[in-house]
Amino acid sequence: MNDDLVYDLADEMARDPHSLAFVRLADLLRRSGRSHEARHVAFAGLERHPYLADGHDVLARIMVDGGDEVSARDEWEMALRLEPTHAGALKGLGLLAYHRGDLPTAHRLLTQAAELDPSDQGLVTAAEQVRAQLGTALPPARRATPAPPPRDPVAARAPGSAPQDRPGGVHDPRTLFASLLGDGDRTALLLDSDGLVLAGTYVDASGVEVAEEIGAQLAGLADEAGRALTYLGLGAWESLLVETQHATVAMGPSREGSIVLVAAARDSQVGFVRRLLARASRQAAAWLESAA
Amino acid sequence: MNASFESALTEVAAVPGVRAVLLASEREGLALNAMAAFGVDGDALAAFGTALYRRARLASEAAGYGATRQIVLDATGGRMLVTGCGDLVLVVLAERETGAGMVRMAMQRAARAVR
Repeated sequence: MNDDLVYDLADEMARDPHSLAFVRLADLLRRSGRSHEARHVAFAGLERHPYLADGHDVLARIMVDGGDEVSARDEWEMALRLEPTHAGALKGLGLLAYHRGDLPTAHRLLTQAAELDPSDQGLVTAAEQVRAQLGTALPPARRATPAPPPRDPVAARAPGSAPQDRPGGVHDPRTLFASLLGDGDRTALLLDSDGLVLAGTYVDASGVEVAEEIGAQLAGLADEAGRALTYLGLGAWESLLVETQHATVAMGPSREGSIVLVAAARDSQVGFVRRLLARASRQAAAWLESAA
Repeated sequence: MNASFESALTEVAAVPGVRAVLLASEREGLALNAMAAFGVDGDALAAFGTALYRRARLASEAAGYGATRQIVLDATGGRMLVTGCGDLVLVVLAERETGAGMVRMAMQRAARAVR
């Protein structure tokens, strides 16, 4: 579906080079891991619309994905000069402040951004995490489900996570599945045969990295499934899907006895979670092969 | 065991590809009621289905996911589905090609009937 949308937006840009669709196109390309193309589209668009805050915001996201926090900060500051209540820029600068350890500034910016865009679950979560670390007695921000961390590649850099890698290779295993997960409350892990985390990340609502704990708990479930299948003569396991009160969790075997695990908020369709597992499994297999 | 549950269980068993359906106590792993095709070991299915459900329930609670509702285990030789109904579990064994959607709906109806 994203490919179709990219095609449609690129077509629109070809027909009307002055279209503001460049912002959405650049962001879609960024989310697909096509950072080089995203950067090209964003620069070209900003040449025509240098005073468009959204254009600077998307360029900042592309920059931060590539690890260039200095340029990202410049772009977000420019976006705020143009539009002082730009939630995306406030959020981006807030996360950068967090990463350099400036918690009061991070808290101020993220809270302001969350007030401007309360529908952004990742943002609300990030604000909560920083507030918790500051130990302030502010009222709790809204939160729908307790589990997965913010998935936006920018928001995903909130407490405990790492920068998005450059296209063409994943250097930080924690970001292996970032391009698959999109904006929703989803997460993915690759576990070894002992339940230890090989790739992916999992930050809970309080900002604590819980991948190892989740991995250990759920890998044991795969062992139980294997025992049942062996005794019942049902052959090798292909996948295990668990629907719970707050999340849908799916796991499947990968190379060398490893396990791929994906979790999504309960409102995600079961079929979608299965497809996500299939895609994550392919990505994990390719990564394991390249790492071998 | 009321008539509506018997009817719901029969409905699950009637889904094409379903080889066995049974109700078991989660704690003991023993079948209370079972409909199984020839060659299916109902006792083993009850034991392993409840064990898997219990493990999933504990892991889900530990992981902060809340109560477990349903499990679908797919293997090369078949598909096992387990739904919780209070302290009982409904376990279904089906052919691998069986549509999980049909079975899930029938199981959910049966689970509602048993509660």
